[in-house]
Formats: sequence, structure tokens, C-alpha cells
Amino acid sequence: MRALKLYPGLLALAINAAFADPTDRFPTAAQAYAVAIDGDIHWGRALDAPLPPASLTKILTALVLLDRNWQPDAVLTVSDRAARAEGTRLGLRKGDRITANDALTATLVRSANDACLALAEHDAGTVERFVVRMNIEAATLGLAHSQFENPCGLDAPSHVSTARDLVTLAGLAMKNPEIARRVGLTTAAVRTLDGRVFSFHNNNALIGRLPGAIGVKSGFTVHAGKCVMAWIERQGKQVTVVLLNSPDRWWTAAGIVEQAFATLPLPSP
Amino acid sequence: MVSKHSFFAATSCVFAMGSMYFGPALAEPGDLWEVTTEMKIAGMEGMHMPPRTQKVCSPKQSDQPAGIPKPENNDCEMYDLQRAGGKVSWKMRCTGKHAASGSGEMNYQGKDSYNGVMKMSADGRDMEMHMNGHRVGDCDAAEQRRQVDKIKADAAKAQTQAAQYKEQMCASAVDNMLYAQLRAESGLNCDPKYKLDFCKRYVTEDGYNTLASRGDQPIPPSTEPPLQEIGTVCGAKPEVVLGNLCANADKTESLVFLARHCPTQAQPIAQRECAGRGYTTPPAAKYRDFCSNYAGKLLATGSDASSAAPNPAEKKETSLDKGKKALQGLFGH
Repeated sequence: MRALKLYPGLLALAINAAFADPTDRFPTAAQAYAVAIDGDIHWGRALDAPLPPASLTKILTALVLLDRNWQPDAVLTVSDRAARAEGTRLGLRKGDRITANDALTATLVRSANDACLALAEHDAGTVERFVVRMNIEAATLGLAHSQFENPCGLDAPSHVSTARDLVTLAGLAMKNPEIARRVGLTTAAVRTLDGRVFSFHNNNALIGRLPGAIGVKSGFTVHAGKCVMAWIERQGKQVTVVLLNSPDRWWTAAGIVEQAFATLPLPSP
Repeated sequence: MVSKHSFFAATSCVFAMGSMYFGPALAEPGDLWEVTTEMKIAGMEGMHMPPRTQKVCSPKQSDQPAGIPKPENNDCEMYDLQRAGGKVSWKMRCTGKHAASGSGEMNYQGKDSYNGVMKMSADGRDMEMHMNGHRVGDCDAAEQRRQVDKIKADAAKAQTQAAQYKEQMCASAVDNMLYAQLRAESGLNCDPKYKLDFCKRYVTEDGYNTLASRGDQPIPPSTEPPLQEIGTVCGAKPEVVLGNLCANADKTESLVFLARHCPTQAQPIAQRECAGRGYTTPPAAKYRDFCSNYAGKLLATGSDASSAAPNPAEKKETSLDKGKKALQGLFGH
């Protein structure tokens, strides 16, 4: 059917019209967004609209990897397919060897698609088999409106998630110490076994800049637009912000976070 | 209106079962009584209080028959104590905070059983307490007294803690600007000084910010009055308070307060310090929080104070386009 070939972002524009969300406090923030306070969504827009999540996908990829016999010292050999990954890359070459530990750091902090594909191939044998595991994991975790076609977040017709599902995913990710430790880094460095060193900043610009921002991930593709899922903790209160297709995601996220904390009765210092 | 609580305090607490208060401090022989009491309060017939049975140790060497209550403090006295055969009657009165008066009568069936009634009037209400007791064995009266003393000490401690808790609640109401807790209807009965403290905080940046942000809370507390009502309670209109606070915040460069509440003062600062700045090539550190808060305010209100003029083409814009403009006009990427 021809309509199904349309990218979900376009489809979602039409779907959005059907969502009359009474808690849409920031109507201009993003195509879809969610703001959760201590895990409960209080403000949002198009919360259940299926949209491309770009590299926010990699958070699920990390959970799949870490939930299954994770061996951080395992050595991955980069395939031709991984070396030719589209989008953001670390710069791995075919035949490079890197530990799973370093590949995961590069995947989560730099959002490196070459490292991401290498991990998926190592874990499941093929990317396609890994995607099957992702979709099983998504269903198990209760991500009811999410479906994945690749491990790294590249645009694909049925590669979608929702603001609500991504709030859930953010919570699960931050409970996992291996993920939480990485996504809170402002900078990181990894090396191949041949000695090539890669240093990089966290793609998530909120880390190290927005007070209390300690995770989780950003993403961008042509069809997804600019996306971010942010985890902020201040004085015992926690705010999660998910923005999907937000033209000015950093200021928008920072502004929403300040608004959220301004409305919270925080304990006196 | 007399509360149920104060009525019980007046009648029950000032008299206690007399048998508990006699005898030396060390171990002493006593009679163990099983005593059943049933309370009836005039006007509260619908509220059925079941009979209460407890074991009471009464010293064998006592100057007062078992079961007869004895005043616990100097505000109360028993008088006109009369004895005729197996019947003992008395009168009693209390003055002061727990003023009350009453009479009682006890009938003894030998040494092992009694029944009787005590009638009291306090706070305009009448109460009857029916009692009957049966001796069930021997006991150590001193041990019982120690237990009673402990219960009394625990009760006093609980009362102190309750008073401390109340003070904490009242102070917390000021800290968190929760006026509903300071109202008489809340039942907390906070000292009037807390209302004064509340109103003092209302005219500060912190206090005003807490109150003004409450309307934006995802689930605002429904019992809290709106800002206008607070203005009436404290005798200072919110717009006047805000005007003073904004002028002061401008002088002292209280930037976050300006960003959140003072669009007139904030707008030129935002143009100067935030405009065109990307989040990764940020404004001066001093203004970072200001710019974030200003961005949040723009997103929440949906417009920049500087672009208030209506735009005829706006109808065709999606909300996302508006958002892009709202922040792009001021912020970079």
C-alpha cells in the first residue's frame, strides 16, 4: 500500500492533529514531547504519535546488549558493513579490533554508528538478527508503540517510537549503571587494539552545561529532526524531557527543565 | 463548641481508677481486678462505644475501696464520701482548664465484686461511666504502678512530640508558602506569628516565586488560595509586590527571577545576552541560567514580549514553526 511507504514523520503530522493533549504546556517545543517528573508524565504533546527516534534508538540497543551475557572485554572485529556506516561515525576501519566496552562508550557518548553496528553484529551475528532481539526487548519492556528496523536509529519506514515510550526507555536506561555511567560523561576516549585513540565530546550538549543533567542521549536524522532525551536530577527531584523533532532542542530542553523545576516544591537547601 | 476530645480530657483524664495510686514504691501484695467500664455521653447516643475491660492491680493495704476513682491533680477533689453497708457514694469537682463536677456510687458484693456508676458534667455535657469489677487473683501493686508511670511518661512524651510536630508543620507551611495550613480550618491552630512570617516571605523573591509558580504546577494543590487572595490576606496586592521585586531584582541582577517573572526588565537583557547564542557556544556563564529560564518562559507563554504585535500570516504557521521562530529569533542553535 502506497501510504505505508511514506515516512512516519509525515504520517505523524496528520496523526498529531487527532491528539488533543490537555497537558500541552509547551505547544511550540517539538513535534512530540514529554516531560516527566519523578517518572510521571505531566506535560506532553502527541505522546503516542509514532515518530522516528533517530539515535535515541541506541539506548535500546545498549539495553539489549547489556541484558544478554555482556562481556565488556570481548574483542569486536569491525566488518565492512560497520566501517561503512552512515551518519555519525567514530572512524573505525574494516578489520579494526575494539573491545565491546569501548564500542559501547563510543555508541552512547559519540553516537557512533560504526561502533553501534559492530556491537550488533558481534552480539547477534547479523544486524537483522539483532533487530529481532530489539523488537522482542521493546515488547518485553512495555514499549507498546515502538518498532525498530536497525540498531542505530537510521531513518526507515517502520522505525518508530513515541515520546511516552522514550520516557519509559530513559528510566530503564538510567537504572542500568553501565549506561548511566557512560551517558553522563562530558568527554570520553576509546582505542582500538592496534592503538588508534579516539577522543570525543558527548553529543548530548546538555551534559556538563545544564545543571543536574546527567543523561541520557541526543539524536538527529533528516526525517526525525533534532531529538533529545534528557535526565535531570536536582535536590532529590528528577525530571525527564523527551523532544522529538525539536528545531532548537538544546534551548528548548533547558527552558523546559527550568520551567519544570520552577514549578516543583523543592526542599529548602 | 465542645469537642469530643476536650470532653474526654475533662472527665476521663483528671480522675483515674483510685486503686492505681496507693501503696509504697517497692513490691507489695495486691488484688488483681478485672474491671469493665462503659461510657455513655448525652447527645452522642448514636456513637456507640463498646465496653472496655482491663485488669487493674489494687493494693491490699489501701485507704480507699477498690474501683473508686481518685483525682490525679490538685485541680480536682473528692468530697462527701459516704459509706453505708456495701454502698459507697461520693461527689467530686474540678476547676481550671478541665472544670467538671459529678458524683458516683459503688456497690460492693463481698470482697470480690463491685458495680457502680460515676456521673460527670463538663463543658455542658453529661457523661455516665458504668463500672463493674471482679477480683481474679493476686498481683504486685508496685509493678503495676511502675507500668502506669511508664504509660504516663510515654503519654507526656507523645504530647511533647505532637506539639513539636505541630510547630514543624506551621514552620513548613511558611517555608513552602502553603497558606491553607495556616488557616483556622486546617485544624493546626498555628500561632499568628506564622501568618506574619508567611506574609513577610510573600514580599520576597523566593516567597513570591514559590506562590507564582504554583499555578504552573502539573497538579496544583486545590486547597491553596490564588495569589490575589494571598494579596488580600497579607495586605499587599500581587502586582504591587511584583513591581517592587522586579525593580529590586533589576538593581541586584537577580537574573533568574527577572527571567521568570519580569518580562519588561528581562527582555532587553535577553536581547543583549542570549540573542544569537547557541547552546554549545553559550552566553557568558553569568547569563546561562537566565537564558535557559527565559527560553522556558517563552515556550510556556508561547510568545516573546518583544514580538507581541499580531502577525496576519500567523494562522498558516504550525505550532512548531512558531516555536522555531520564538526561540530562533532570540537563540541560536
